Amino acid sequence: MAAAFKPVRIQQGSPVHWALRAVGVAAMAYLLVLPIFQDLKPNQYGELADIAILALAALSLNLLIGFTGQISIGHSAFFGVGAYTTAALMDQRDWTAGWTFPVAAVLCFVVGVLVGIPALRLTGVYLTLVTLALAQIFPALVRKAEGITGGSFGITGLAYDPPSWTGLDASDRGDRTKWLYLLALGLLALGYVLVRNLVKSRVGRAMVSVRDNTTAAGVMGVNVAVTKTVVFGISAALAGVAGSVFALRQTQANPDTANFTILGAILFLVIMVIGGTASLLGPIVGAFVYYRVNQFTIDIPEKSWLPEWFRDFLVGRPNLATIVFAALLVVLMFVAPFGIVGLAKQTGRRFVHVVPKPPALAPAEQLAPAVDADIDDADSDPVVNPFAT
Amino acid sequence: MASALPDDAGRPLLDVSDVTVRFGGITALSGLTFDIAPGQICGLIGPNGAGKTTMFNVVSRIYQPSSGRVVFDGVDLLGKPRHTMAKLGITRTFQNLALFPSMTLLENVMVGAHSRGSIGFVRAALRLNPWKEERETRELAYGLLDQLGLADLAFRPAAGLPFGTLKRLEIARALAARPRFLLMDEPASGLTHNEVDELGETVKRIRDEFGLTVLLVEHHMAMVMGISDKVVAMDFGSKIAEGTPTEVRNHPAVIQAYLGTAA
Repeated sequence: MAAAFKPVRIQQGSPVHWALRAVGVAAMAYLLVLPIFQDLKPNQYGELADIAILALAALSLNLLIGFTGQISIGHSAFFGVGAYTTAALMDQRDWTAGWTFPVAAVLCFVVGVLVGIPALRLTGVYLTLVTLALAQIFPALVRKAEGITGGSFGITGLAYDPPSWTGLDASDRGDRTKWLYLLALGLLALGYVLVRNLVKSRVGRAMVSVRDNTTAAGVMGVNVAVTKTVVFGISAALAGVAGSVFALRQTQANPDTANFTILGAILFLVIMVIGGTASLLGPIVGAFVYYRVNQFTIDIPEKSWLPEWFRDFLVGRPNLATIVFAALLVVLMFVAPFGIVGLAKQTGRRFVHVVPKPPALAPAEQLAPAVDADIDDADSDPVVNPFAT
Repeated sequence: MASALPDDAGRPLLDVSDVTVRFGGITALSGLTFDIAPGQICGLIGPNGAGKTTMFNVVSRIYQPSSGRVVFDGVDLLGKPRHTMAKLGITRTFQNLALFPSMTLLENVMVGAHSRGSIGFVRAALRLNPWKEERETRELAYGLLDQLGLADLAFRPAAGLPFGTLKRLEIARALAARPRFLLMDEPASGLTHNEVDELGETVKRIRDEFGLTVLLVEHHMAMVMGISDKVVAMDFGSKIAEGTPTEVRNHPAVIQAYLGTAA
């Protein structure tokens, strides 16, 4: 039945294609911006803020793992460095939260590059082990550096009042959470545009070439060392900014927080994989789905459509929720090995086929072997050498 | 055959002198010396394990020799990092394919043009007018794919395409840097008889059209002898003969290396 169906062919850059893209962008914008005007409950805004924070962290990881092929399970450390930068500057220097974001980003970039430099000599599983060590060291370091981080007690009482230009009421809990959502959403959008610009450029091709074949990338003129370290730095900076907003959302920074330990790093990784590795929208979709499904599995004992005896069995057994979640994850990996976005793209291709538009090309006589062609002729040919002036 | 470019005061384009490479206790190359004049197609032949690919990896800066000098157009290559080779005008193809499988053919060739571009992290991230360079790179890459008969496949990922197609893609990618010197590591291996004939024509054609000098490692004798201006024969990491195809073919050391000594 499906075999008889032929996908609709759409020329890239045609009005139909543009219309389709516009609809897609509008739908996404609608979904993201809608909550702002919906007057949701404070905890609902809080959930959305959490999702945006997780999405930004997963986005940072996707740049590093998905597009450059360097596997890190230490991003919880960068997340934590960002969180503690914001917390410490606000607590000890009385900074406004907004000004701490760039500082957190720069600091995490530097730390990321410093980790990335020794990581240059390591690939694959060995690099992963170094980042694992980073994840393990971070909470211990935080506990030691009491002067800055408040040790085991952490830093509490962080508050970011919505600025007056937002028109939000700083004394209203709902408006305060809404502000955090706006903040997280804005930073996520910024991070997304940044990553998208990078990926769809000469630099992005260099990144993917390093991932696909490092030796060949070097031979083609890609500076592998610079590409790897700078991407590591940018990825760390994005994770750090996510951590900054996370500290504000938590109103505190504490070394026991799961997201600052290796569990956080694994969580970001899981979200990235759920959404779709090396997919731009993947982390956002992944964070949303992860959060909702996780919530669903936790709430299972309260579902009225389940038989009474089953609910009784579940009560007081919170680990079962984790098992259900894990089972769903395994199923997902079978159904959609390239994540949800990968599956969506695959499905979409069965209905709509976008025909790529080839670049300009001179007439086809180029195809004939031109054994006697003079070199000067070849150089003046616009197709052979568009760089010649 | 006369070289396609005027011989620049007789200076060779590539000058390899006394290069030795050791891996642990094994000497892969011992005191190899040869040179290539501009515009030449130079064939590098020898039995398996003679050190041909090692030589290649020295010139493309993948292996660091323990001694010797490699000078390209007056520049000492051994002091330069690997990623600067393309900028100097040296690119290569790989024996067992070293493509970027997840990328489309067009993107593969665009990476080949990496050394010609200038967009860095800041310009890319902030989109500071990348359009002109991006368009020119796309057009260059597409034009090259077209020249090698791959334009129809431009938007297909490299993964899963036939071996012969991917071999041509490697050539297109190497040409995207607009090199002066192209190293081809066994371009004919794994190709059908017809494809090999076509390849020989392609190599000559791109040499002439792009003003290239070519160093060719190849087992396919008919092809090497058919297109080379000069042949260097190696065995056990050393040069055993050098000269025109006819000279090398009849050289006793070469015959001995391939067929063994008379009993």
